[in-house]
Amino acid sequence: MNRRILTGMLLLTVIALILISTAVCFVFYGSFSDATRSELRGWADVFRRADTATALKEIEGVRPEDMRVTLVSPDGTVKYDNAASPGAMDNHARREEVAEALTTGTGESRRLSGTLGEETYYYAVRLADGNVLRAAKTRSSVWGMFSGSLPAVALVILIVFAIGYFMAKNLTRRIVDPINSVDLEHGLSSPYDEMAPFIRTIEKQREQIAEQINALQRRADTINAIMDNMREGIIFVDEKGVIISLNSSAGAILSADNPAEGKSVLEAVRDMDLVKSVREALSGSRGEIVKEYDGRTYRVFISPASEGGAIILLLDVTEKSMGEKLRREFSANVSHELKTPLTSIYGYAEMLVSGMVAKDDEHKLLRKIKDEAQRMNTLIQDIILVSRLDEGGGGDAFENVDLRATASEVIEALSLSAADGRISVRLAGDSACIRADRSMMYELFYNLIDNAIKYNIPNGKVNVDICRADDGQISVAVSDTGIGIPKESQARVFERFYRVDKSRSKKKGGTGLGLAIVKHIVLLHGGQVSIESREGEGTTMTATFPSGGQTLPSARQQSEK
Amino acid sequence: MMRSRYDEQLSILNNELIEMGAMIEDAIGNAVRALEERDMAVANEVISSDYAIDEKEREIESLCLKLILIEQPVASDLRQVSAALKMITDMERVGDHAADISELCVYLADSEPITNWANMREMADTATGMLTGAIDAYVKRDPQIAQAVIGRDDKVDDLFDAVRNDLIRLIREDADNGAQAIDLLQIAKYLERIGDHAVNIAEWVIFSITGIHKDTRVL
Repeated sequence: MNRRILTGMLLLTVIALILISTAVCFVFYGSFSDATRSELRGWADVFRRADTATALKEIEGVRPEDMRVTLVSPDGTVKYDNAASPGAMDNHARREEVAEALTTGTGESRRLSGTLGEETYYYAVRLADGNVLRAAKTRSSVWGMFSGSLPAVALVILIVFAIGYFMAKNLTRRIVDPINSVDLEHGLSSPYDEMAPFIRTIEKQREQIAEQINALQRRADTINAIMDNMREGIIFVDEKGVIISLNSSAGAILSADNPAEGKSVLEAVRDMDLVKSVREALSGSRGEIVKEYDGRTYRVFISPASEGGAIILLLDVTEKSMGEKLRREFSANVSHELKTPLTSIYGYAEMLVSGMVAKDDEHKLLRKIKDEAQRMNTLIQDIILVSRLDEGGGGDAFENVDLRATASEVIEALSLSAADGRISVRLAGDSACIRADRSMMYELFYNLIDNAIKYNIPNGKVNVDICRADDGQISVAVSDTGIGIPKESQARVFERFYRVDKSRSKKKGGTGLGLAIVKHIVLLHGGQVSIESREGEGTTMTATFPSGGQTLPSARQQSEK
Repeated sequence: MMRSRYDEQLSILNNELIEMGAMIEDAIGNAVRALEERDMAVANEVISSDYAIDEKEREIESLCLKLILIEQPVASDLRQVSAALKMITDMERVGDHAADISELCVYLADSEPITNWANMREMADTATGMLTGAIDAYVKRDPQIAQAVIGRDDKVDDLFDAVRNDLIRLIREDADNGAQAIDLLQIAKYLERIGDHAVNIAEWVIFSITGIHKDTRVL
């Protein structure tokens, strides 16, 4: 800007100076040459009527520096010259001004002299006796004047340059400063009217940029929010295995250093399996490993990213793998439990077929076959029930069920086996209705009371208490005076196929599924089941159902669907 | 240009050392698991992985020597390189002990366990914890963690005495326990040694950070 202004200023100055000096030269030159001519004419015209002798007398005093005077005879020979010797001079008859004077009386001419920048004016008059007197004066020409003025012009240019330099600087500053001090952040105002469109453009762009930054920020925030709120751990690493970013879950799962960004995976986590998989991913192959961190199982996916680097995803599969383990155990147990009675049946049947059995023993074997078949049947029923409960189904037919009525129904059904063990069963409490699946409630009471009878001592007692608490909760407590459950087993009795004492349970015809079924049914009805037991003193199983129970279970049922 | 290569080599040394640390952590962790669960597959894996640890030691050793020879490190860089040279010796010994324990596991596999694991287990946990602490101290460049490791050595020594007394009692009760008791005593000794090596590593970590080794300024 500064340079441009300076150049422009200088160019203008130089052109102006040259034009002015040229014009001045021409004007002055014109007036100079007019003055010279009239001077010569005025001086020479005096001699028009004089003769040669008077003229000679007059002109001898003229110094050659002032004026050159020459006397030429009519034939052209030079008679006198005040600057040179007449003999050395050639014939002047052909000179323009002399020839003109010889014919008309006066003559005039102008010739550029040999040296550049000068010109000479001649004026000739014919004297009375016919000789011609010529006067000449040399002046600098227009070019001479011009070139003479050049140093002065150059000096002026130089001065203008110097002044112009500072002025340009000053001017630039004065123009630019208001522009520089424009506040681009808020409330743009144009320092010059000429700049208003430019400022408007900037304003518009600023708004666009702000909008884009906002959009980017929102996107980053969204991504961060997603990443930080997801339960899965996610880690990005660059092509050298250095962590670029990780979410808080990943940091917590791997108990990585904080901040882990900028560190290599090895440094932050020190887990060789993971480091190896990351290396493989960085060389382009996807990996998947299962690792345990802090007692929880994680499935770790490591995939190469398209822009180099890799992405590590950590999924908590603890529940899933536990569930899988449970299912595997369940099917293994089911096969085993089913095989045992079947083996007995097969064995007895084979003995009967082979005819090796004495006639009076046959009946005993057949009874055993029937018992075992009965046991298998019960087991299969229980398994079907557990599977149904497992899938969360089975509670389709919710209705108002009177727990007391159901309990007494069950006690009636079990009265035979109670009588067998000489066990007295007592039912206490008022009738209490809840929304429930009737057959399941029957199953619940059957299992609880059956257990209480089975694992009781002879002449023992079983108490069934149904009571409604002040907050509307209904609890069903079945207590016995039986053998009790050891403390370390109490937490496990609800597991499938768990038996405190295997041989005893088998003898009593237990399937190992009774309490598992109880727990499932109670959970399905939104309740809780607890156990209280002392070895040798007895056990109390308590099932608690949520308040009122009139509508809640069905509402729960619907919300689950 | 040269310097950036040098920095890169120092960071490679750092990573290699952490990797070797992770390797011996895995080895000792697996050896203890093999011991507890009598898992021969894991024991054999530890024995065969000892080769990789030895290999890693040689690799780091030659890297350190090359660094000293070519780059002539000074000040903290020199401390890092020389500490690395000392640390890998201890690390390699830990790897050996892990393999030794695993070999004894193979011997023990056939016989019924005679002792309850409480003391031995605690010893194994303490020793591996110390080792992890020593390597953590290196990774995080934290002398306090290293100091904590050094402080835990007495616990391992006490536990060793407790295990020893258990075993003496077992032999007194039944002379047939002798064979297994001797193997178990060796395992306990190896664990005690691992604790000592962890202390050594921790001391060199402190040196590499502060220049002070065992309360004496070396560099």
